[in-house]
This record gives sequence, structure tokens and C-alpha cells, in this order.
Amino acid sequence: MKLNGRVWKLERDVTATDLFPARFDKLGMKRNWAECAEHLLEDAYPQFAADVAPGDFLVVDGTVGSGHAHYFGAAVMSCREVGLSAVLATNVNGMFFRSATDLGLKVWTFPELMPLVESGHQLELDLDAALASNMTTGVTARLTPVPELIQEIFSAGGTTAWAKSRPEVLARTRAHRESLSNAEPLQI
Amino acid sequence: MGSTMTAKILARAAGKDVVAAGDVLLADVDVLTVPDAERFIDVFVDEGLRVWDPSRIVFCFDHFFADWMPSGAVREHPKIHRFSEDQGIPRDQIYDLDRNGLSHQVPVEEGWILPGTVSIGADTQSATMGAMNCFSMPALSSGTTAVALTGKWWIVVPECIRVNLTGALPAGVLGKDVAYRLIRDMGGFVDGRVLEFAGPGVASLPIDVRMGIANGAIQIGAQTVVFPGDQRLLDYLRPRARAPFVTVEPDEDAPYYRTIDYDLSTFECLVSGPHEIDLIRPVSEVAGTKVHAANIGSCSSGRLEDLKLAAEVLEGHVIHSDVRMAVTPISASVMRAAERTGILDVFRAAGAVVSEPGCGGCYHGNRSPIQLQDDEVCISTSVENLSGRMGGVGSQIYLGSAAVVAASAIGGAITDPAPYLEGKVGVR
Repeated sequence: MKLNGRVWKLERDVTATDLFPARFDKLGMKRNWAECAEHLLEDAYPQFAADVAPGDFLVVDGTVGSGHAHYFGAAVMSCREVGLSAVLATNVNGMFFRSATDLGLKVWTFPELMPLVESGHQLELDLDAALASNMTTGVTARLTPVPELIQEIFSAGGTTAWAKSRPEVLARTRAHRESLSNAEPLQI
Repeated sequence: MGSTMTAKILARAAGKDVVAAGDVLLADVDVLTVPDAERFIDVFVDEGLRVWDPSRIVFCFDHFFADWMPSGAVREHPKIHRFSEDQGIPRDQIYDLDRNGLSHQVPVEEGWILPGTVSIGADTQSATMGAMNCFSMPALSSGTTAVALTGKWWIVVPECIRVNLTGALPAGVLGKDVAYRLIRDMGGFVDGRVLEFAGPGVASLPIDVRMGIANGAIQIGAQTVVFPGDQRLLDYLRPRARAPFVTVEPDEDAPYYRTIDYDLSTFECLVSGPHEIDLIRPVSEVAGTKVHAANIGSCSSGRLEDLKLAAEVLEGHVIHSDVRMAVTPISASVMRAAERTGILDVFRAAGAVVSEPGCGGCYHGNRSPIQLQDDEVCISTSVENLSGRMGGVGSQIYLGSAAVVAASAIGGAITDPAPYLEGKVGVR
């Protein structure tokens, strides 16, 4: 899988409520992701929500996703709503990683990437080859590979789609449908 | 290099001999516990999907009360019954009225959750079940559908922090006070790791108190907590375990990110809030703050140990005339035990309303029966104190133990329960 986009880099920790400020919680509770996304990183990176474009990367030279799990859903869905390619960080909170991956946002720990890119650079990330190429500076770096299972979930677009595509799940669903269609028709 | 309890449980569930922090696994799920407010049923019905194993899914009716939220109960409860019948989930795996309660409490009481196993809960507070020497996590966000389809839990094996306990809690201090101390002390570095409890102090903690501590996992910032499988746990499980099990213990050279030592005798009553869960202060620092409502219940309290201590505080007193108070036992069996031992009569005599078991005043989405007005202050044992959680966005929620809430209800202001407990603790 290859991802391409412009880099937005923050050299600090970015908590779940930095991504999605707690004062907009009502929008999150209503699952209004489009409006949530208008406030993405509003305090930590004020021009971000207005200027971010689909395909861009958020690069965090620090820990991403610490803080209250109540806000994880809105934080993740806001990132998805603006079309981020991925969130790449020096360190990722384990629970935030789980929420993001389940919901189809690619988040991964790439400390090797930090010296390679600055805000505004164009980045190409080849997850299969574990290579990051800075298309602006021409510098390439090898990354720690993303494990196969995580790549499978990334490719599927989240855990639900990944689960539905597993062979045993498809077989079970098919068998059930066949059993319904083979059932004796009702005598009316 | 040895293994933590977490690594041992996950290795078994993934069919591996040994795993280490950072390994990515697919672990087999032993039990999926589901409350009555879950969207995955709609996905299954709409798309004609089938659950992986009907014998391993347990539903508990907890969020939608027939008395306070009839519309939700009427919509969700029959839906769960229809879904279960269609999927072949046995009817006795639906904990309906008179058997109901919180979705990470009832499966423990009913012997579904056993040492060495992996259980996933659809509710955010499902790490509570980690008190059973097992690996138990909430399926935050959209994880429940995948578990129900596959019976698998994908996981990056987490690092663990060892919490070494000595001594015993002072009288009047509950699991909630321990959880708040851990939020205050450890919130900065837990960062999604797992807390594993150890040390001679664990033996002094009743199972109810362990569950109260484990309930705070997500607020502490931990993926889950794991308590050891000691004699007290074995005694608790003996009459209820549904299957044979083997307890797990860490190897002596198990790798821990950090080890923290605590003398339980140094713990005290703490209060969280308002608005921020990690604004934690000793009850003495907020004493005197006027309250209009008091709430005992929810999954972080509402167990028999909590209700018993609150009754000891309230016995012989009446609730302040400016305060309305609700008490919600965590489960039908706890409610029956509290009824049998006269605890509920103490609440009623003091002027509190006792509701049917469930989430009670904690229920999110502005549908709390407490219905705080914008200028009101509540002291509650519940999970969250976010603005607007129990009513108006201008209201303030302070959180504390059942003893703190009971004392505050008497005083009409946040109150240290210690004077009310002199000579009373353990009497009931």
C-alpha cells in the first residue's frame, strides 16, 4: 500500500482532546463528524482544519492519542473526515491506536520518520516495502515494517470490514443464506 | 525473560507458547459481554451476518430502565430477544429484568468470566472484569462487530506496569478512592499500558473493591488491569465458575515497564471534578461545597461493599432537605442481597429513592434521572463528570465514593464521611 500527501508536523504530544477539543463534545455525542472535523486541532494547530487536504499526513514528534477515551471516537472520525492518509508518531497511546485502527484511520509509530520530514514536505509512504520517501528533499528512509495483520486491517479500512472479509465469516454467512433459500416454502 | 500475566493469557488465547510486548496477535475470545445499548445488532440484521459462537455472547440489560427510560427499553430489549432467537443465543444468556445489571458485573457474578481467559465487553468500563485474573478489555468504537463475527481480538501485546500493594485500606476507603489515587499518580505515564496488581496487600481487598479499582482502568489510561488469582478469588469463584480454569501468575523475571509500590494504609477518600476526571483532591479540600443532588450507583460503585458502607454512614440520619438522592444497585442479585440485609431500608428511611438495578444516574446523553439543572451541583459515585453528563451543561458533578456521597447527602455539602463512620464500620 502506497500513501502520498503533504506533511503537517507537530513537535509535541498530541492528546485526543488536542485533536478534538472537549468543549465540542456535544457534536461528538451526536456523531456529527463533519462538524467535529471543523474543530480538528483547533487549539494546537489553528490553521489546520481550514487548510488540510485529503491525503495529507499528520506527523507527531511526540506521543499521540493520550487522554480520555470518551473523545477517541470524535478525534479519530474527525481525522477520517478530513481525509488524512495517516497519523504517524514517535509514540502512540495503545488504546487510541486500537480505536483508530478499528475505525479505519491509519495510525502507526514511526520514530525513524521524524528527522526526515518537516511541515509542507511531500511524503510517500510505501507500507509494503517499509520505505518513506520525502519527495521534496529526495531523502528516503527505511522504516520498521508494519505487521501483516495490521496492514490487513489498514487495507480493509477498519476492523469491521476486515472481519467481514475473513474466509470463515464469508463461509458462515453464505451457508446461512443457502439454508434459508433451501428451506421448505411456506404452505399457504 | 519471563512473562507477565497479560502475556501469558494472550499467548494461550493466540495458541502460542510465548509472546512479548509489541507482538501482534489474534487472540481467541472466550466471552463477549454486551449491554442493551449496542449498534452491532443492526449491522448483523441489515446484512444477514451470523455470530461466531452463540454460546459465548452474554447480554445484560442495564442502560435502559423500564421505569425511567421506557422508550429505550421498549425499543432495545425486544430487539435483543429477537436477535438472540434468530442467532441461536440461548435465552438464559440474556440477563433480563430480575436477573439484570451491568454488563461487566453480571457476567462475573454468573461465573462467565474466569482466570486465564480473554473477555471483551462492548461497554467502555469492561476492564472491570480484570479483577477475575483474566484479560478483559472494552471494544471501544467499532470493535464489537468484529468480535461478534470472528471471536478474535486483534492486539499488540501491551507493556505492563506492576502495582505492588502492601498493608490494608483504612476503614471507610473504597475501590473508587484507590482508582482516583492511581489516576492522580499514574495518569502521566500509563499511556495505554496494562496495570498488573501484586503484593501481600491484594489479599486484604474484597472482590467488590478489586472490581471498583479495575473499573477505573480506562480513566487511569490503562488498556486494562489484571488482578492475581489468589485464594480470595478462588473462594469467590468456587460456587459460580461455569467451567474449569487455571489461574495465571507472572514469572519472577517478568518484564515490567515500571513497578510502583503502595502501602494501602496511606489511601484516603478522594474527590474528582468538577468537569475533569483527573482533577483529584482529598475530600477535605472540597468539603463544604453545597450539593443539590446525590447519586450512589453505576458500574464504578453500586456493589454490596459500596452500599453497605453508605448505609453505615446514613444509619440514624436523614438526607438534607435541599438534597435529592438516588441509589441504584449494580445488579439484581446485589439489590436482593441489599434488600435482605436491610441496607435498602436504611436508604429509604433516610429519604433516598432506590431504583431498579442498572447504570442509574450515570447514564449519558442527558437522560439521567437526576436531571441536574444548570445551577446545580451533584456528588455522585458514577463514572464520568463531563459537563452535561447528568443534565444541564452548567451543572457541576463531583465524584467520590459511596461513603462520601452518603455523608454529603446528610450534610447538604461535600462532607468527609469519617465522623459518621466512627464505631460503625463493619457493624452491618
